[in-house]
Amino acid sequence: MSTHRPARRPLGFVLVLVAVAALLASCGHLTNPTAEVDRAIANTVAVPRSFVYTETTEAATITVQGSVADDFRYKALVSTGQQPAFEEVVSDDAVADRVLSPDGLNLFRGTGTSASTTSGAAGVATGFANPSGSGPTPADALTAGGWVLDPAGAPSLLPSASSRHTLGSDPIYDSLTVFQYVDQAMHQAFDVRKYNPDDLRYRPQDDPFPRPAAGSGVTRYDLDRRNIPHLQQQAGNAANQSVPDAGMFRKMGIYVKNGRIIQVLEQIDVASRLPDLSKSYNITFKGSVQQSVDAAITAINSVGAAIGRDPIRVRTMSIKFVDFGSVPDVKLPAGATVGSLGFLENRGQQVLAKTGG
Amino acid sequence: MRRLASIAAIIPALVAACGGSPTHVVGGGVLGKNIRPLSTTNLPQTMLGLGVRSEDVSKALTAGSRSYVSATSVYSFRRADNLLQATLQISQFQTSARYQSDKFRQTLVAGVGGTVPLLVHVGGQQVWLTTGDLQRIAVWFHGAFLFILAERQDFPLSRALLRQALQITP
Repeated sequence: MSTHRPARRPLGFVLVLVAVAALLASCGHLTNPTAEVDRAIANTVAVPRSFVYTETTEAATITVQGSVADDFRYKALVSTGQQPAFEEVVSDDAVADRVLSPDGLNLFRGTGTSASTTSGAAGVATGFANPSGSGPTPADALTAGGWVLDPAGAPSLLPSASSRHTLGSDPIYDSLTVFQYVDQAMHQAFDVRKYNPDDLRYRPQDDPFPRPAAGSGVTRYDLDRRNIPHLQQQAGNAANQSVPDAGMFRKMGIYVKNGRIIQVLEQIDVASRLPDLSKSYNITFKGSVQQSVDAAITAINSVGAAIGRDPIRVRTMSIKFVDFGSVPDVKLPAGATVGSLGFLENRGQQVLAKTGG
Repeated sequence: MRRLASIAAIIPALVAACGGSPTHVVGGGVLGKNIRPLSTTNLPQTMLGLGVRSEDVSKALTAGSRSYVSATSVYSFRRADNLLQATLQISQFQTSARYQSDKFRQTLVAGVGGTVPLLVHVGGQQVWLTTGDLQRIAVWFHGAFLFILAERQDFPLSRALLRQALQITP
């Protein structure tokens, strides 16, 4: 008889869990993790703050240290590796930039789609002329490490026909709009869950992020990535549904304290999906894991581009917020060369497309 | 002037449409012809060097159907050569309107402009940005008042004008 008892205990435990789960399910609307993250985002963007944003790809590590007074007033210092590369101050319509290393200019050199700010002269628009006709051109001044002030060239926050923000093309923009990115990531995820190591769906071997310290008051929310569709699921689907998207590779942890986001960590993990990709698409990967990842992403992005999708960027990203409520001193530099910064990515006055609205 | 009139006419209809329940509008709406100008505003005579003046939009308003707006004024911002750079519409909601509701506001904002509105924070104030036909549009709420600032797309001091306009309290 005694041998039966150990078997009954787990059953009772499961019953209790089921009851608790049912109870939680009945009041799920009170603890919707997506809504909780949305609220935390709203609380965070409403106050001045400082941040450190770091993106690491196979090619480089880029860090943006920024301070935001509000969405139209901020300053940022961009570093590549440990080397300061580019500095920017934005105050309403005006933007001032300074290049601190050759990498800085390369990072922000744009495609030249912006319009002239005031004069309409082509030379001003491309940064190779000075509106006054004397002194250094904006490009010369930047190359020499001086500040250049464009009185009406602040980066646009609104998408337009003339500006497409591809992830990685403007790290300052990426850091400032990280909450739009998080919101998009939540929509692409299979699920948004509160971190719970006791959750049966939690797989510690797949978790690259630190757990909140006990007693820290930090709540972590995790984004579950969607599965790579199996061949059978793809049959009959439209072409764009068959192409894997970032939501199938992304791991993201969102850390909240006192109702505000204090940190977001992301890993676009393609390597762990290689077996699924191989199975679903009948591909045999050759070479190292990194070579396989490169081959897979090149192929996915190639097909994605054909259907108008943004490329998947294989990266790890971290952004940490501090100094909530502390209004930073955002002042445009004195003595800057005045001219158009339209030759830099997303800077210079943007031409808005006619919307017909 | 024709553009000014068309902007002003949009709003009463828009507000009526976003009310949610049509019966609410019929029961408590204000006919376009009964929408009066705002009694007082503290707009300066010039802002960023642009002349500010009140525009007569009464004719445009008479075409409007019932709305939650009880008073509306439209102000123009013009350069010295009279070229219109921006307009600011200030509308006062009826007390029966649910203007403090997030849903009410979001529905209203979604009807303005031709692109999905982007919420930003400027000087502690929530502002929705969108675009219209050759225009940048900013929308915000202050108490029972709705503000819609429409600027030419090539106006170079767009954000500075918005920041100053945010200081206006009717």
